[in-house]
Amino acid sequence: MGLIQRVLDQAGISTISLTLVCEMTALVKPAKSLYVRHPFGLTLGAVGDRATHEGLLRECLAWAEKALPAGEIIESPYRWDLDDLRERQLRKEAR
Amino acid sequence: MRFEQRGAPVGSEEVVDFTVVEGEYLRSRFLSDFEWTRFDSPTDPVPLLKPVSEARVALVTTSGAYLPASQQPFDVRNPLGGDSFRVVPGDVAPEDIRLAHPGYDTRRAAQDLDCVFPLGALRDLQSRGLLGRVAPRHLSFMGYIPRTDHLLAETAPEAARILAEDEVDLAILVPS
Repeated sequence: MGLIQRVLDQAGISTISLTLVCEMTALVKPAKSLYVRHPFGLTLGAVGDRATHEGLLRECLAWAEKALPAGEIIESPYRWDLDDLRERQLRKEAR
Repeated sequence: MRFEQRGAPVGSEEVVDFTVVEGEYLRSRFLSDFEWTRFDSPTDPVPLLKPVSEARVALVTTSGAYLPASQQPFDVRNPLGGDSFRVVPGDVAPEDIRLAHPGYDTRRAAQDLDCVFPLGALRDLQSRGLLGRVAPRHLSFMGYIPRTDHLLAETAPEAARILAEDEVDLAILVPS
């Protein structure tokens, strides 16, 4: 994801990405990212959680308007607290 | 909260560095020589030259979304992954989209596409005047791309060309 973003940045397109793994983003260093500790496959939030989906999108839009240093990774306040899916995914114990 | 450019985030609550876990997993199962592509310098942010309320916004997803009526699904069995992408019209109905990705369980997001490809939520924001316009085309990759040379040299530049052709002001990239 960050690699595609770098190419868009270099093509002159304004970008912001969500990232689920900030260490991965730190390796690639796209221009601007929003880190959210959600599970893989539930990037914007749980199934049917429209408030969180919209909230994260609005957060992206708000940060997109701000001038930040290159490579900035901002942490979103949203957290996944429904179960331990994210932790199991990070250990490759769940998909 | 801000993060250092390398290593775990400052104040991280997580002790697992997924780049280590995933790297070892890929090397042991599929690609013994796998290494993460990395860069020393960040790309410069491109300023948004108009308010979001006037901007044309496109999504770039790595959820593996495709249109089964007219497009081939992504190959989820290839150990080398794939860097192709599918073009998804901005007015497509969510029920016309399917997901193919080897890296996450697509059954959850198949119930609610906005979990990984929030086109519905984006349209809703447009209808309420919170963004200018949903772009006419959005781009979908399958995020498992362990070999990145072709992506960087050919495929991603083609994606950029499409977004530029559509005069997209802002691309929001959504991983899965």
